[in-house]
Amino acid sequence: MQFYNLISRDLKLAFYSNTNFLFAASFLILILILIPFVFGTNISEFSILFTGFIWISIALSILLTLDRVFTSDYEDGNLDTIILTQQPLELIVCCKFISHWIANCIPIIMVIPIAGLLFEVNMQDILNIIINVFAGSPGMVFIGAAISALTLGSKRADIYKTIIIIPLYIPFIIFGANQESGLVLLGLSLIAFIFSLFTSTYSLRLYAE
Amino acid sequence: MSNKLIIQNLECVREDKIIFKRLSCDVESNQTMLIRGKNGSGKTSLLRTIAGYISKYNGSILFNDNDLQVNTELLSDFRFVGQKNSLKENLTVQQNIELWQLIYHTKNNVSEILDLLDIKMLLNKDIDSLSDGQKKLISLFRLLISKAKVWLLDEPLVFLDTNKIKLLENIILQHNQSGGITLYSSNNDIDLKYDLLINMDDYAVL
Repeated sequence: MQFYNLISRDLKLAFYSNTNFLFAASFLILILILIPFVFGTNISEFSILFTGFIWISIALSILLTLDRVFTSDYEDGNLDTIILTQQPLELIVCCKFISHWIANCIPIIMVIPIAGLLFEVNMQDILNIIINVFAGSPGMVFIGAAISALTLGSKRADIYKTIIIIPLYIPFIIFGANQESGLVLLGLSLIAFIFSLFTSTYSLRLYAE
Repeated sequence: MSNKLIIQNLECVREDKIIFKRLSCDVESNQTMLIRGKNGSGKTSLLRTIAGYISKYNGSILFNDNDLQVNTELLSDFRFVGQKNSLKENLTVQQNIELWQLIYHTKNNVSEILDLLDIKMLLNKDIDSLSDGQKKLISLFRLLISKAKVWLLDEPLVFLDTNKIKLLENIILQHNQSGGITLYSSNNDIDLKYDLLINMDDYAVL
């Protein structure tokens, strides 16, 4: 029940601040729009480029929206309020992870088929990409959220976050570009989940002191 | 129902620096305690320690004879309203209240509280169009949203006008009469009615 309430709180927040749900998906489309200008329109390898750009835009859109996970709640005091309800920090952190993934990555996944059709990527490839994104993007959200929890309250946190997070995304992007590595991505996500859960909980505990 | 908050020999250390030490006091139901003190004397640290944010301290804080360091679940009866308003600037008042309801797991009808605080006409306004006093008033909404036994208010009087201070005094009085305890910090010349006074300057280590 508490689990459900916290998740729906975060989703409601994303829905009310009306740019949030659309942001990640429109970011993806905007990046894809730029591809033809860079590479021209008459190359045949668009489907390979397509996969790469999907992963790059997922990485960037997660980076750009990270401060919505903990930082904005920290700055206006809502994090204090949530922590004082005395639910386990692990539960709070899990809710934050899940709701951020739903608000950020589900719209991306929904846009991929449409964008794929525009680039004449065949159905099988689109399906593979979706499976990969489905398996890999949670891990990227977890890592991002954990690092942003670690940098809570520090000055210039934005720069630190970017510098720390991007190298950690490399494995996801390497395996994401390969079409048959859905299971590896799932494994990476699970590993990321465990480490992120511990790091976030620990840093929230530190912050609360 | 009567409650009792006992602080014994409390010493607060943050980043290897002692903020205050040897602080003891008793607060019972139907009592308000005012925490006075210079800037930086540890008023906020004391309130945050009692609220459980600062979990490493020496001495003990007992609530109804239970040590709060051990029985942390009792802290869910505490409500801390700090200097940060917990308001999302780009949302309306109504939307902020809905988010709080989800945080506190209540589905109470809010219209009574809105009438009490006299903020009904602000309901559909964006937070960033409100004045600081109005924001402060709305952040006090969290006190009433569900029942809590101990209220910890950090500088609640800042930005409030005399009418609103009177209103807050009545709200605290009602809370205390139903068995509640209120602790608040203030540096203003105007004060709410209080039963106990603690001066942080006596305990602060500078």
